[in-house]
Amino acid sequence: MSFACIYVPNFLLQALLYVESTLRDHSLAILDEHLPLPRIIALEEKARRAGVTLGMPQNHAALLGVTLRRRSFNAEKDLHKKLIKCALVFSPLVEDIPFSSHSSSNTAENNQRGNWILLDLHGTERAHGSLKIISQKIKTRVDQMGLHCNIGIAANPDTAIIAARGIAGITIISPGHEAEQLKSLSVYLLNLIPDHQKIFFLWGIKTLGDLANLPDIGLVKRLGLEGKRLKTLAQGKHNRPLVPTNKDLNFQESLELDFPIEKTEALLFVLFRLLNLICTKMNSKRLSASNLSLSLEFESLKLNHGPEYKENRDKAVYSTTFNFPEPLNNPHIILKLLHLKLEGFSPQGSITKIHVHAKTTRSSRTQGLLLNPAIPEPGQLQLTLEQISTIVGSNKAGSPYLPETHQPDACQIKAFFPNIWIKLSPSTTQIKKSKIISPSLRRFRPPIPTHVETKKNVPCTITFKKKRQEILDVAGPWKLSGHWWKDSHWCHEEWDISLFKKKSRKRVIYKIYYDCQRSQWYIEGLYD
Amino acid sequence: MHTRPSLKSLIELKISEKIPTAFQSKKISKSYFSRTGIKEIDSLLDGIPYGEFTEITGETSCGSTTLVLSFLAEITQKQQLGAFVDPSNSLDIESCSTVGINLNQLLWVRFGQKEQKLWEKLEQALKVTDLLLHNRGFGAVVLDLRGLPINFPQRIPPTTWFRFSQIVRDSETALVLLSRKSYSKSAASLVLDCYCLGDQWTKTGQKTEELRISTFNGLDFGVNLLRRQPKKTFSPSNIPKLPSETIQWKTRFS
Repeated sequence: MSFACIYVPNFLLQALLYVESTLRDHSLAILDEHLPLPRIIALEEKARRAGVTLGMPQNHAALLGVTLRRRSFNAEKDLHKKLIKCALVFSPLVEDIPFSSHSSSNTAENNQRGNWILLDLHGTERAHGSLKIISQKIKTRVDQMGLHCNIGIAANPDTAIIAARGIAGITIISPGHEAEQLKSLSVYLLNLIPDHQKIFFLWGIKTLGDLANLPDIGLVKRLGLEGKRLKTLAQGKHNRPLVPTNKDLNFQESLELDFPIEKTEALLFVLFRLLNLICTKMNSKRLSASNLSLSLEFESLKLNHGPEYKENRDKAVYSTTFNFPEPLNNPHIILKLLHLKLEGFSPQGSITKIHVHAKTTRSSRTQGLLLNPAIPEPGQLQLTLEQISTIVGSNKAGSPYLPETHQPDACQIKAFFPNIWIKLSPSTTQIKKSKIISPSLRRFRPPIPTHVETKKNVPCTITFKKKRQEILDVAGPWKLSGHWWKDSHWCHEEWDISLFKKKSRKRVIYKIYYDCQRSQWYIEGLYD
Repeated sequence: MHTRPSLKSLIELKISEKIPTAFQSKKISKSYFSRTGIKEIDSLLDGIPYGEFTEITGETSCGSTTLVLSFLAEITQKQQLGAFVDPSNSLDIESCSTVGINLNQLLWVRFGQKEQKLWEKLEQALKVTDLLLHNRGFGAVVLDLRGLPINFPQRIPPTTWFRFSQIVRDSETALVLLSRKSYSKSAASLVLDCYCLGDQWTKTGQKTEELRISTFNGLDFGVNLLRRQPKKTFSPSNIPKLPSETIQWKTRFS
């Protein structure tokens, strides 16, 4: 495993110079106006020579004849984005400190935001060459942006960051030599909290080598487990996984049309182009879309067409979102799903702009087993379910689900999401031995109201299909009730009855019940 | 004048380059069947075939629903997917659970609105079945037409059943049609006719003047094999003999 860190020293200054290159010849100092008293937070070498120091108030610095500029969060944000873009050329796994435009209470921490980016170089050697070549390529690319940077490469993320921050130029630390190469660096590279800074100052600890040589027990006694962590950091042994940034996990494409679209068919044609682009990008990063947002901008403002329409800059915008239970990256299947969703949609006016935004997640590709049963391709299954929903209506197709209640026929339908990639264990593959099963019921939905005559509370005749019939056998009653604490209180008295069917000359077994709430008999179903 | 065997050899020789297996019937392997979970039926029929169209007919309380649910239980326990297309909305989920169906693996398509016309329901049910069969990822697709009046499914053109039969051919899906009468005719390769042999009651309850409360134990069913067709049969000698006796099986409440 190897990690690389791109560190841009004096990031605030370089970000401002990146936007205003004319200031390069000036003795420049940057002010933070968010502080109660505006102070200098970054400065150029020329300004330093003129006597300006970090933390100097604005009015003092102004007297020394240096050029003062306010901190530009937008410039820093833009530069940070460009650095991430540059890093993504070399590795798909990139970590950074999330950039925020808000001033944090900790000035030092705030000033360090966005100035380093960490890359996971594992497996990239075949594409970009050895670690030395990769580091040179990264440096050249950042230099081309007009920036000065340090590159640190090490076997763990934190050592790479410390090396990049502490050593100018390119530093490659080979595994096992971390402590040796870090020993001369300042202990303040560890981002110490003020209390620890004071303690190390009192102890005379100035370098990482000094800290690495301290005894474990004494350090833990005085600083707790944080002391042990700082020591392993100083020794270059601290290991942690890289946490990839999620910024580039969203893909979007927009298209402004010279000739507005008025028909759904034409819209789908253009949509396919955008989807194809998004899917190609997702495939290159082995990602799939879990959610897709579509927004259509219309030429004129018409807002009386439902909640999906909104007003934006005197134009009506139709926006809708599609959630995919199983991540998809096939443009054909996504287009078919969009087609089904947009079936009832007819453009209310001419569409001038289309915007598609996909939220991505990792593709769920699993190797099936040779002896596993055939299973549907997840995208194809989603498409089939969507097609079925369009035919029968939503909430009419899915997996049946039995809630925790004794109420008869309380079943519900939930989204069909089968465990199709489960590896079969021997216990599940072994088919259950045949045994005598219970007779199944066929329900009448809704139950059929009927008239039942009883003798001593036992049903003896029933009027079924306008004919009065004698009950031959009867079993019951099974009394069921529930929800007595709610308005939907129910109370049933169930019976199994046997009737003689003259037409087929056979006996048929029905399940009937007496609804105590409504004082009415119902036929619930028949055994089949 | 050629005799029959010599004529057969001559034809075989002529077309051997193009169709080498013209006169060889394809033997159905046992692995192409899925058990129904009912011992008596599995021992005689091997189960319900994959890649073929099976029709199960019978009047009220004939045991066809129990048979199909037991088959779906076997399918879903093997982690395959099952689908139940239910235009009459009569599937009892508690029975499914009792029989042992893995409900997560079962797709239930119901057509609940009573005001919806029966023709519409029937048309939609056929469309849904068509979609499920084309998906080719389901182990079993059951179309239940038992809850509809007989005259409605009778009007379905026979070509529909032949089309369904063609779609499932050579796939790993078993198509099962539940009906009151046989509608598919020769399109189905297996037709089972179910009927009730009797109901079992134990009269142990309280006595009244005319009837006494009993315990309902279960039902006894019988199955007649009306049709069984192998996948490819070119020779009359390959037509399988139908079992002459009725298959009897029983259900009991545990």
